[in-house]
Amino acid sequence: MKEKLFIALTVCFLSLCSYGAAFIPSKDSEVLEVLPKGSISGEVKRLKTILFINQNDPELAFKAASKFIQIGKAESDPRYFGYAESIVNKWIERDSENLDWYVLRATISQYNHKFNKALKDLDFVLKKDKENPQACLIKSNLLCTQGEYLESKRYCLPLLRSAGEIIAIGCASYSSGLNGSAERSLILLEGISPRLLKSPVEEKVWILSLKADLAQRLDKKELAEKYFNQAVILKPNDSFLLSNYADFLLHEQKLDKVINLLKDRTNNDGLLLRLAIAEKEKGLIKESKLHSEELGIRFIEQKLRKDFVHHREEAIYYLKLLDDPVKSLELAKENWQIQKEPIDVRILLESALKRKDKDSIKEVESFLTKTKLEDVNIESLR
Amino acid sequence: MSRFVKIIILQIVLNLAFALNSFAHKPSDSYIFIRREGDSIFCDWEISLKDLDYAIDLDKNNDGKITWGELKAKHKDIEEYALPQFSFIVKGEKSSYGLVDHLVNKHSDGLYAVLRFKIDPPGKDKLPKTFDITYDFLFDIDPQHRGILTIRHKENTSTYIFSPENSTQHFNLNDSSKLKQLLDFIWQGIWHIWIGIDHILFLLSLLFASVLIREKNAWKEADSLKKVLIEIVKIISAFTIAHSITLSLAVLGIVSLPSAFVESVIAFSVFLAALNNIFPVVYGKKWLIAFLFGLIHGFGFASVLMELDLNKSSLVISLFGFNLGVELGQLAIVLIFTPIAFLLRKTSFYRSLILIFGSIVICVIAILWFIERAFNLSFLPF
Repeated sequence: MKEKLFIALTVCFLSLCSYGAAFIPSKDSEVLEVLPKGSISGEVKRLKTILFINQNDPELAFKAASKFIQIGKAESDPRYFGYAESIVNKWIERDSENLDWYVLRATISQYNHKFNKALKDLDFVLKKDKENPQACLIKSNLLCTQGEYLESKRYCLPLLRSAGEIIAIGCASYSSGLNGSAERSLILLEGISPRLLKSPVEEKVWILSLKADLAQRLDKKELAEKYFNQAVILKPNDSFLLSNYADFLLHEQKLDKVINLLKDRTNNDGLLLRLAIAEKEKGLIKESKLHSEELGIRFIEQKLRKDFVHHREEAIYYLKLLDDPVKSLELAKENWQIQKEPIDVRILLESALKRKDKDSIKEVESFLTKTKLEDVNIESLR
Repeated sequence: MSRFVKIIILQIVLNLAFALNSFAHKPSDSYIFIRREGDSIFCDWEISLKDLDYAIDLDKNNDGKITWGELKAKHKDIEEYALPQFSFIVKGEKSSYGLVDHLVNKHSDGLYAVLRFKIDPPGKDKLPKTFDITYDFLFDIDPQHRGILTIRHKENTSTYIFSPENSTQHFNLNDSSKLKQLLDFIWQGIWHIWIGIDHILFLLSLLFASVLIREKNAWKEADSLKKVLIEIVKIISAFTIAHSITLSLAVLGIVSLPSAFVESVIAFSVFLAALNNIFPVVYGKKWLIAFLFGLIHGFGFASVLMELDLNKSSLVISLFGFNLGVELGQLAIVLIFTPIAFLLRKTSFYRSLILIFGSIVICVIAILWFIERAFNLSFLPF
């Protein structure tokens, strides 16, 4: 029935309330599209040319694919992940012995929420190279996403030898931090922080994000805000970081800060969602409604593809913006089949409590008992 | 590969490590709308400017902006690049295209170039009902790309997805399916009555006393089957006429009531109907109760039907079919109930256990339903 309702909505979208009717611009000088920052669009062109000229150089192809992934993330545009995937797929056929291609493809699949596809590539790599650092790290992360917190830690140990202490400790603290040792994990991360001075920005931001998440779940609000701030200064355009930071600020009711942080980032659907929630909670009804409608259209366009997987955000959208706990619970349950990070626990529990859905509440309770997950935001709901 | 490459890949992994959630915006899609106008088939193909820029370089002056002038200069290139990757095939032969216009259109992730062209099928039949479409566009540079095709035929709109795994699809627009549609809706109506326990209990509560006559504050069995049947026909007809009226009004969008209100009143109607068996107030004109509450039950049916289909052309079929199905479902209940009740009507089993105790049970269930629906709770398993 849900399927049919969706089809009905889609039909409505396609036939009646089409996003905009096609038109012919009036002036030649009218700007139709601003490409990702000038330098990046130049970079993309350069990479394309390099690839075209050096069609037989795997190392150049690898660098290009990696660069596309970085651009995709910076621009929050899945297109660039697609460009990277196309390069990787071509090279896996030509150079099937080289495990790095599989790791790269797993990274892309992970980003696209194709977790099983990612696990398949990772297991292939780990079978041939047990201690492959990249594969170990992604696999550990993926298992955390799927709620296998305990199992995920097993893949951090090999990192000590193959990737160094900082990455191994980061990996292990993330798993343990979800698994009943949040306090200890935070202390561990504080301990290695002084050694990060010469590390690349990625590493610094990663450790800061881990610390911010732990501090937030342990109810150390000031500490969490400090780490989030430091991380955002280092990488002001990291949408994932911003989205986590916004969730924290929303929980603290620091609505103005959320609006300031996100008002110019409405391109990113996840950030637009947080912005609309902040506006709604602050009583900016007009702005919130406008953004909420825009999001609704984006959900419909995303779902036209039929491979839509972002039920987490959709559940939050229905719960917080449309005040529809019935739909939100349905989506939160669907999301629960795919991912079980603290934020997924929160949205499932919150919708289930609103609907007094005993089964889902029991499911969350037994998950919390099993994993010993510590999170004040979850505690405050119970 | 070199150590440098190893470092890049680890950075990418870290970059994404804490960032599994990638609800950024939708991946690359193109939209194809096919429709009939008079004796011709027209097609609007909408392609993202970002995708076109990657594929054939639209930004001529490299300023990171695409203007209408720059796009116009590339119209020929776009046709040559895109059109060969979209084939409209009739009996194994490709159609030719007559280009009508270049426009632009807005989507949630930016502006799209629109190619508007006429499809000229080979052979005599200019409006073929069966054909194949092959779509290979962009799959070589982005495996996540999808072609989303919408066909409008008469008043029906259907959507199809093209992916690298599913790049050729067969279409058959012959409408031999009117009868099938009707049967589908009849079945949905029957099904809805059978799984809609509230409607069944309401009817049964009204029917329980139909084999009895109320005289001097006591129940007496009805002496002739004819009287019983007339009573039942009156009740069922009144219920049917009433819910047909509101079902039609609601589906046609003339009247609408909030569903929480409708569902609560339905529960309340079940309660009153059953209570009337325990403490009879209305016994001569039960058809009046059936009629009054039938109006509300009609809104309940409408919410189901509106979830099933909103297609204008099939509205008459769906309304008629669904209503007929509901009647058939009701008739089945009456056919099972009447002979048994008539045979048992003299026994104390019928009068105390079925009529009184049965009605008490129904009252309790109905009250619980009412509480659930009016206060948005959920504790009953049905």
